[in-house]
Amino acid sequence: MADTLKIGQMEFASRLFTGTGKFSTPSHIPKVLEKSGSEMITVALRRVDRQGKQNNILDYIPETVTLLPNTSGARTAEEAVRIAEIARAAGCGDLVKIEVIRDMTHLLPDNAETVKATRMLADRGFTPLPYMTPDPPAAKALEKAGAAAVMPLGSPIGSNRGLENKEMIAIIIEASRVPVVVDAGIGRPSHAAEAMEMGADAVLVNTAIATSADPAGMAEAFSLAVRAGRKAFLNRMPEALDSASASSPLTGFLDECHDVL
Amino acid sequence: MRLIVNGEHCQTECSTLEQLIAQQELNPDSVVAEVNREIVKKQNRAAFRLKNEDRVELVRFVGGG
Repeated sequence: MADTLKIGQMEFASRLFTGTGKFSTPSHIPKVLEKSGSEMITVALRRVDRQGKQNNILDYIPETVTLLPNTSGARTAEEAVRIAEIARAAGCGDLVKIEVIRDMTHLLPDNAETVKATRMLADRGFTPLPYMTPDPPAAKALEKAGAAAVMPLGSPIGSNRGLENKEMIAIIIEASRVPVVVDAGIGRPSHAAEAMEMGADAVLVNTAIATSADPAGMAEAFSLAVRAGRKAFLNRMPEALDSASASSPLTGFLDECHDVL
Repeated sequence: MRLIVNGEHCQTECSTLEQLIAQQELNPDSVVAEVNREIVKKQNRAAFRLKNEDRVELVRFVGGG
């Protein structure tokens, strides 16, 4: 049976979500999507810059890839709903990554507002994927509010510090009935593999790919890491032990004959 | 007529939302428009008449994570 990821009514073969932020040029994006195999990519909404040059980010994303608009810039649940409605009006479908942030230093999501936004958006027929500060009770509250998946952060966005919240993420994975997508802070393929080995259902990687020397090459590295980690999880890794356990037979090489020499 | 477009006051001769969007140097299909916090669907832009002091938001997709 194929190992697919189900989010709401949709199914994905790839467990690597990517983002469109921070690329030196959006022309990297098609190759990143090809090399990563990613089937879901985030986009943001902003006011039209009436003077600046106008690249349409959507022109770089093939139609086969699912758009995941985020609500970045929202400080309250109401603002998140307004942004999500605009994204839906733009033809984005019902998926939305809820992002409600008030803390402008660490950029940690406000879980209470995020729960509220999740409920409001689920009621409006959206498929909400809330980005959250990794707090297990909040993850359950999001699930109850109608989240189609929860997206706890590994470490602060763009920090490349990996799974600093590993214990909390492990508890969230253990308890969650909806998919868990580790989002933010994943700076290296080994971080992505670690999240997948722990049983995360997917990871979202943007900065580490977009700001690398070769985004397409790094996208491929992350794709391999996610698949490796997923496969390791499915094949149940053995426990870590306190003492050694020999991999080769422990009997003497030929025979015990100390007295010959 | 005076409008507030993306938070800035501006003077315009445009009488419909479609005309206002056409003034921007971008593909009109890539823009979502709100007038006084109500989303105006693409098919209604041509018929949508702007009034003095309307608050217009023109929004589009950009890169983000």
